[in-house]
Amino acid sequence: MSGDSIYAMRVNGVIDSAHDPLPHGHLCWAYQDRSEFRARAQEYVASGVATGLWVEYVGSGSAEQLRTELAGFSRIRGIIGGGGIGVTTVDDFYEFSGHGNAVDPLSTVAMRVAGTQQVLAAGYPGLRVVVDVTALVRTPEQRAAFARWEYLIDRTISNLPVTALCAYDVSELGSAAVAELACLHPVINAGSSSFRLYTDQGADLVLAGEIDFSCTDLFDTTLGRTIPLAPGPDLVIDGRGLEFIDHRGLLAVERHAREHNRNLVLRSTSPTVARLADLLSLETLGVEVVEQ
Amino acid sequence: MSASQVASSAGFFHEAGFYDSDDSLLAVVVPFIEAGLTAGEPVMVALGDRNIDLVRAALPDTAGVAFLPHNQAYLRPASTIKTFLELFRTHVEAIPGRLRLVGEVRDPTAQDQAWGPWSRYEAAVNAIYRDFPVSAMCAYNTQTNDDDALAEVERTHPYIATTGGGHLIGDRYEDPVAFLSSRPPPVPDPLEHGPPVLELLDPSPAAARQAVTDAAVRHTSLEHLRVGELVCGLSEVVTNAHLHGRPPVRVRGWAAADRLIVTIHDTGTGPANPFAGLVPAGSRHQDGGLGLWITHQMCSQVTHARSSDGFAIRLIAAAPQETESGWSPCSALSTEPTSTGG
Repeated sequence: MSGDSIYAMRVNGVIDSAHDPLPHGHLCWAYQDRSEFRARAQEYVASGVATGLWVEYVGSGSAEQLRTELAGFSRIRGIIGGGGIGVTTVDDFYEFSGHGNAVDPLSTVAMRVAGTQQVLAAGYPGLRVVVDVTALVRTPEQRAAFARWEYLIDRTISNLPVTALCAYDVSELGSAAVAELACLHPVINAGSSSFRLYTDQGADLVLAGEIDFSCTDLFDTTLGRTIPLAPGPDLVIDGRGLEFIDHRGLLAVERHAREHNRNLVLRSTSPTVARLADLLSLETLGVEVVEQ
Repeated sequence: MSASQVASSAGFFHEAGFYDSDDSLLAVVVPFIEAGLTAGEPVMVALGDRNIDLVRAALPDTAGVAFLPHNQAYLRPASTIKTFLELFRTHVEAIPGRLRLVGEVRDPTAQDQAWGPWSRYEAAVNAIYRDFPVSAMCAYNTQTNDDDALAEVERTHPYIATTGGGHLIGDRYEDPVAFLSSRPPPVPDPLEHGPPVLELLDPSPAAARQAVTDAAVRHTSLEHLRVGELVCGLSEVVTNAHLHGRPPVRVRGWAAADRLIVTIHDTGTGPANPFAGLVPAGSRHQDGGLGLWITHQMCSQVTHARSSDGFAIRLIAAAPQETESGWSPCSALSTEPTSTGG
């Protein structure tokens, strides 16, 4: 990372192997079976406790079921580190809008920020959340709401000492549904989304990965869920981790910028992207070539 | 469109100016320029560099004449069409009357441009520029262009210039669509006779991009931008092959230090439009219209080939190459033409 960076970039990237240690950040873990989730969950809980964090274990069972699951995590028995663990059901951890069991993004953010302040006030250096959100993203309406929540909370926790592991059951939801949410995390496991859209200090939006025809629709949908929530009217997109974007992707960004009265600048390390933008004669989107 | 139909239109006038010496170049070009100046038309000259100097020295007065750098005007066919269409549209909006253009698609002192793509250009512009009030002379050096190329020049130009400012009807002129469908397949690059450095069957665009980028890094010393441009075009072509072609889609690549060649083949018939890629198809808001045009804008050389077993597009990235820097000749239109008439 260059010493000329304006800010220290958040942890971001793609986890390739089931055995890579999980970084401390905002993670999405798409799992095929429950034992895979249990392995990663206990690892993340254990490392949180070992570093003195308060860890909140969240799921869709009852509180007692969640406590039983925790008790089965052999890796956390006898951990010395000064941290603590609590359990919360998803019903208590999120605020919901009136119908359809869809999360209410704004009021949930407020509730979670308050919860984080309580943890810090109790003397812990930070909060870690491990949550299986499968039950909250089963329908398209739930996913649309949860996507907005993921974007908003990502922006919030980028400024707070909060790390999180959001887990999704791919065998139950399907990979397309999971991709709708995976793409909104700075850290994901390999294969769950070809691109990531998240937030960081110094840029209102960060884009990473590859955007081509295979994800044109998902990218368009995701822009529709996030651009209206981003500050305006001028928006900077940090695209230094964007390895490829095609003309459909650039036109989609421009279209959403125009629809929501934003002027966007995409910072990219690729002169090819600048050349492509030039060819397309984009109006509400400009491209700046920057060093890594 | 026959030559006689072209003669009676008020649109694009397209003639070939053959020359075999400095004197014979000036004998066709200078009267053509002077006729334009007399009529009060803006005149643009985009000859090869040495020829521009000859013409500039031979004109008594160069006011009203704009000289365009050859390497920017004729970077590659699709870029040239984009540039000239913008020029023509700007002209039509700004001033009444015609625009006069002297061009030379291949600089005789720098014979590194393949003829095939320019042959397609010369045929296509008869249709693409048809409705614009532009008179264009295309200069061709009969010493440096081979006989096959010169024969195709006659088949793609409705008129042939004579010395002293006149012209003959080109009786070998062919309708562009007929000409394009009768052309032989592109000449293979010598590298294509050897074993490919990569071969993929039904790759995703992402897999194709990765393989081609790896090959470029491993086998060539092409700069980052050249490789990126080819990969951009490759991604579009592979996407199109999956969307509009017939499987299987086969991607092959060859490499040398100074160039990278990629072919994308499918078993379908390719685009129906004979000018596909030279102009954008459909509007920017309609899916699929821009990919092939972007490919033609980005890559050093793009050729289409239809055969009995399908359709292939060949992309070449080569060095050295002039980089487009957003150059446009439209600012040259602000030069006040000498108005001795019109």
